[in-house]
Amino acid sequence: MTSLLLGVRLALRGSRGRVAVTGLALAFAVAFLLAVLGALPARQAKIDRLADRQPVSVGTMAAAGQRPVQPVVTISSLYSSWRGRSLSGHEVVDVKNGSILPPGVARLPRPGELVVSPDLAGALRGPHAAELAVRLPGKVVGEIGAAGLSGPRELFAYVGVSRPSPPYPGQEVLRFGYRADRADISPELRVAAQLGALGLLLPVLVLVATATRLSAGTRDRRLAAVRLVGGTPRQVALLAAGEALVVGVLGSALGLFVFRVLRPVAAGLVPVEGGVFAADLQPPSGQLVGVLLAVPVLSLLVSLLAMRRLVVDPLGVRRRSRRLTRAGWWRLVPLCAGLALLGAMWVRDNDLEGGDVALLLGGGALTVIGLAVVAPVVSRLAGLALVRFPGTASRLAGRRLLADPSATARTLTGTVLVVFVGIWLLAFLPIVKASSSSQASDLSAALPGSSVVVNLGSVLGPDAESALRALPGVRQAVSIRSAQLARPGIRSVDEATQPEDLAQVAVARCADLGAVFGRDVRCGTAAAFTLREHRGDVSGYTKVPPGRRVVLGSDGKPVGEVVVPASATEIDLGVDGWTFQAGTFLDPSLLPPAATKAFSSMLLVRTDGAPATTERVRNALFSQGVYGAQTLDEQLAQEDRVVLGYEKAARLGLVLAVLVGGVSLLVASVDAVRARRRDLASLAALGVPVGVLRRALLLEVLAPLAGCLGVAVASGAFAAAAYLSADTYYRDQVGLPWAAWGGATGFAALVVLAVTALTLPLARSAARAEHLRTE
Amino acid sequence: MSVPHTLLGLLEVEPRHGYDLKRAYDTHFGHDRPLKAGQVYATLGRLERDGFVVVAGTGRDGGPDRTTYAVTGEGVTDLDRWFAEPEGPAPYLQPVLFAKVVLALQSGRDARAVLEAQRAEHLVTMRELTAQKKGADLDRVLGLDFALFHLEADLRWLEHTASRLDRLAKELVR
Amino acid sequence: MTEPLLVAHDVHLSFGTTAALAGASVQVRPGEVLALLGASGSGKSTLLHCLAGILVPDSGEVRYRGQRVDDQSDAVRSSLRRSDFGFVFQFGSLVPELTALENVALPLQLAGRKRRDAEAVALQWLERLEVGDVAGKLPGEVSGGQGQRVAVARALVAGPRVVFADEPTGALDSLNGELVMELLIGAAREQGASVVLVTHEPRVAAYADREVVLRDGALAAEVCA
Repeated sequence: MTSLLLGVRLALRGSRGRVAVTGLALAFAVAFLLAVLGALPARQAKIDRLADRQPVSVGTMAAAGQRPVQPVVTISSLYSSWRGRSLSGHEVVDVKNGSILPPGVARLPRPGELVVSPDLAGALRGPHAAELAVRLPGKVVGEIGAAGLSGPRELFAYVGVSRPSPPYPGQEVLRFGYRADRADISPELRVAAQLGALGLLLPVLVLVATATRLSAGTRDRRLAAVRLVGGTPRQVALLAAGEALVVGVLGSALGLFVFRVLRPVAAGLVPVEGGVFAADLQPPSGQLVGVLLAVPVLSLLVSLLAMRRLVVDPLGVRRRSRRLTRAGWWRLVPLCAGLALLGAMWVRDNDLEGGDVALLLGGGALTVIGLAVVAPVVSRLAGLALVRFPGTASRLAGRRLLADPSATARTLTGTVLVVFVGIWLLAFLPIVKASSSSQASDLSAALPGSSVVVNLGSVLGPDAESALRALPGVRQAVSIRSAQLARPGIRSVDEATQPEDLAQVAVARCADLGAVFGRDVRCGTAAAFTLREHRGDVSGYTKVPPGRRVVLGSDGKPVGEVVVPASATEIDLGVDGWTFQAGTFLDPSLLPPAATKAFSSMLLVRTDGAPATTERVRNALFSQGVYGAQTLDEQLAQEDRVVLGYEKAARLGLVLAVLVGGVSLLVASVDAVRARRRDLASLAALGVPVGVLRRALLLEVLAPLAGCLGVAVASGAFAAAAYLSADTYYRDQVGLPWAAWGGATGFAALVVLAVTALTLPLARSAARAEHLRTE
Repeated sequence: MSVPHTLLGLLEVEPRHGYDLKRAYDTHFGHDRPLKAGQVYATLGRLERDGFVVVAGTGRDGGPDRTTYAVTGEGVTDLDRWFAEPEGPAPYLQPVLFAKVVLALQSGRDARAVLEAQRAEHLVTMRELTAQKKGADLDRVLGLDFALFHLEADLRWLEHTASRLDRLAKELVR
Repeated sequence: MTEPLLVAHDVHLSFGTTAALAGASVQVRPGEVLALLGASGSGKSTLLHCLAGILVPDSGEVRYRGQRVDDQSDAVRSSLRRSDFGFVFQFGSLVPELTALENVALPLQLAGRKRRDAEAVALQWLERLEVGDVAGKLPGEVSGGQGQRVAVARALVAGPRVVFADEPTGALDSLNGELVMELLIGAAREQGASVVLVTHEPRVAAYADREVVLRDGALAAEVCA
C-alpha cells in the first residue's frame, strides 16, 4: 500500500511533463472511444425523437387495442425536398384548440400560420424564401424546440390549415408520441458499427500502450534506484502501478471533459440528414463508466506487462529480451505467406466459395500480422539505404535505424496497419455500391442528376404537363404511363394465372423520350418500340407479342383494348426497359382515350440543373397535389443513405484511425527526442548544425515510413485485386479505386509528416548544451 | 637510485667488463643522467670487496685493458633480497623501480611480483598517512596530502607498468 | 580471527561470452573497510554486485552471516538489501523525482516506517552529513558532492551492516571526494558497519583497512594492514 501511494506521489510530483503528455494521450483515447460509442445511441436518439412526435391516430389506437378518445387534431403529412435537403411536416387542423401539442411546440398554428424548425425559419427569412412560399404558405408564429426535432438542422414545419389539402383526407390524431412500433436500428448497422468500433479500438490501444510506456528510460532509472535500496519486485511493480493509475485516472477525467467540450463539434461533423444534437451523442451510462474505468485499468495492465518484460534490476533496467532487435529476414515470412494465400485466390479464379473465403480470411489475417512483423526489416533496409547517401543527416538517421530498427518501426505500425485495412476497405466500397441498383441509379446513368423524376399513382393532365414544360429552365417533361396488357378474354388481373397472360408495357411518345433523354433516336413511324438492353445478364421485361390485347387499368379492371403492332423499332435511350418495367413501349395514340387516366405513370422532367428551376418544378407539382417530387440526385442520396453511410463511416473511421495513429506517433516522437537529449546535445556540441539534426530526425521517420507505406499499399492493393479477381461478377464492373487509395495513403503520409514536423522545433531545445550535464 | 644493485643485476644477466656495463646501464636507465666511468669502477670495487662480484677474467683485444666481472652466489642472494623487498616510499622512486622491473625481466625473475610487492607497500603507507590526517592540523594535513598525492602517482605508474609488462619483456629481448 | 560477515567463494559470472568473474573469492569481516581495486574491466564492480545480492553468480557461492545469499529469491535478496545493506554509487543512486529528504527516507518507508517518522530520521542524517540545507531540493538541483553525501545518508539511514560503495568519488574533485569518504567511513565505523569499496583511486582505497586487487575476474593480491 505504501509503495502504491509512493508511486502515486512519484507520478504527481516527479516528471510533470510526462504525466501531462501521457494524460493528454489517454484523454484523447477516452474522448475518442466515448464519441465512437456515442454513435449508435445518437442514431437511436434520432429514431426516438421521430417516434416521440409521431401522431397517434384513432386507427393506431384501435389497432393497439385501446379505446379511442375524442380526436383533437387532424393532420396530413407533407414530404418534400428543398435544395437537396428533405423538407417535411404536417398540415394541422387544431380541432380542440391546443389541448394536445407535439413535442417542442408551444402552440399549434392556426390557418395561415406556420410553426417551423429553426433552420427552416432561417430559410424562410433567406434569399430563397420565395421557393418555399407555395408549399409553406403563411406567417411563422413559432419555432419548434429541440424536443420536437430529429436533428438541429432538420427542415420541419407544422402548417396551420382549415382543412387538409386534397387529395389526402388527413387523420384524426389523439396525441403525439408512439414508440411502440418505431423503426429500430437495423441489426446489420448495429453489427457494422460494433465491428467498426472494434477496428478503431486497435489504434486506440496502440495509443494507450505508447502513452503508458512514455519515458520508459526515466521510469526505469527511477525504479532501478528504488530496487537498489532494497525495493522488492512487488514493491516496484506496485510503484509503477501507482504511477500508471494516477495517469490513467487523470486521462479518464480529462477525456470525459474533452468529450463534453468537443461533443458539439463532433456532432456537427456527423454526416446525417438534419444533423445530430450534441446531447444525443452520449454513450450508454454502462459503456461510459466502462470506458472511464477501462482506460486506467488498461494503462495499469500495460505498465505491469511492461514491468513483467523488464527485470527491474538495481543496475539499471535490462529488458528480458535481447537488447537490440536484429530485424532478421524471418520477419518476411508471415507477410509472404499471407500474400501467397491471397495470391492463391487469384490463381483459382472462380467465384467466392468456402475455400476461397478461408483463403481470404486466413491470408488477410496473416498479412495484417505480417505487416506488423515486417516493419523492422523495412526500417533496417531504409537504414541501409540512408547510410549510402553522403550527407551527415542521412548518415546519422541511417545508423540509428540500423542500431534499433524496431524503435521507429513500432511507432509506425499503427498507421501502417490502418492504411492496409483502409486500402482493402476502400476497394470493397465500389462493390457495395455497384450491388445496390435502383430505378434512380439506372436513370442517373442516362439523365442528369438534376432531373426531377416522380412516380405517380395517376397520370398528370396534359395541361399540367405543358405548364411544366413552360416553366423557365425546364428542358423537357414527359409522362411515361405504365399499363398492363392481358390476353384477350381475361377480365381482371386475378384471372391471369400464366406468366404469358399478362405483359407490362409503357406508354409514351418516342420523340418525347428522345427529347427528355437528350438522344437523337430514330423513331420512324412505328407505333411500338423497344429499348436496346445494356445489362446483358439481366433479362429485360418480356416483349409483348403482336395482336389484340385487353388493357387493364391500375385497379386491375379492363379499360379497353389495344392492337399491338407487328413490328417494333429498337431505340437506344441509354437505359433498359427494366427501368420502366416494360419490354415494349406503345405510342399513346394506340390506347383508347378513356384509358388515359386509369394508369400510374412516371414523370421525367429534365431541367437546366439550376436549384431554382428544381424548386419551380416542385412548386408546380405541389399545386397539382404532387408532394414528394425529388431530383435523381436527391433520390440517390436517400436510397444510398445506407451505402453512402457505410462509405462515409468507413472514410470517417479511416481518418480518425489515422489521426489516432498520428497522436501515437506524436507522443512517441516527442518522447524519443526527449530521451535522446544527451545524444543530440553532444552532437550539437561537436558542431553539428541543428538543421542537420532536424533533417536526421525527419529522415529517421520518413525513410521507414515511405517503405512501410509502400509495402502496406502494395499488400492492400494485391489483397483487393486478389479478392476482386475471385469475384467474377463485379470484376468487370468495378475497378480498383486507385484515386481513393492515393488519397488515403497521401493523407496518412501527411499526418505522419505533420506530426514529425511538430517535433522538429523540439530538436533545438533538446540539443541545448545544458543537457550534457549528467544528473 | 641504487646503482650498486642495478649493476649487480646487469652482471647477473651476463658477465661484463666495466665499459660494457656502463653502456648497458646508460641504455636502459641513464637517459638523462649517464653513469660516469669512475663511478662504475668505484662501485665494482665496492661490490668486489663485499664479495658480490668476482673478476671472471681479463683480456685485451687490441683496445684498453678489459676486466670482466661476474656475480657470485652471495651477489645473487643480495639481489633476491633487493627484488623481494619493496622500496620504502620516498620521493622520486621511479628510476629504481624501473631498474628493478627491467632487471627482473632480464634475469627471468617475476617482475609482476616485484610490482605487486611495491604496490602493497605503497598502499600500506598511504593508509597510514590517511589515518594520520584524522584530527591533524591543516598544515600537517596538507603535508600529508603532498605525500599521498606523490604516492598515488607512483601507484598509478606501478599499475600502468604492470599492465604493460608483457610488451616491455618483448622489447627487452630484442 | 572473527567470523567473516560476508563471503564470496570461487565466484564465476559471465555476461554473454565475456567472463567478468573467474573464480573470485573474498571475505568481508565485521566492521572492516575493504577496498576492491583493479583496472577497468577487472571485475571489481561485478564482484561488489555479487556480494550485495544484486547479481547472482553463475557458479560459486555468496554467504552473508553464514547463510547462502545467491540461491535466495529476488524478494529475499531485496529485503536483505533493504534491511542489512546500504549503497552509494557513482551515478544514479538517487531517485531524480524525489527530494534529498525523500530519497533518504525511502529505505525506511520501503521497510514500512511511517512517512513523518522516516523523514524525521532522514533529516537527522542529512544534518549529520552536513547537507541538511538541501533537504528540500531535487538531486538535479544540488552539486555532485552534496548529492553523494545525500546518497551516503541514504545508505546509512536504515542502520546497515554492510555499505557498498562503487566509485563513490568517481565524479568528484579531490576535496569533495575526501569529504565524502571521511563522512562515509566515519559514519560507517561509528555504526560498526562494514564497507565494501570499489575504486580505482589509491587515495580513496587508502581509507580501507584492507585492499583486494582484482585482475581478469580473480583475486591478484591482497594487502592487509
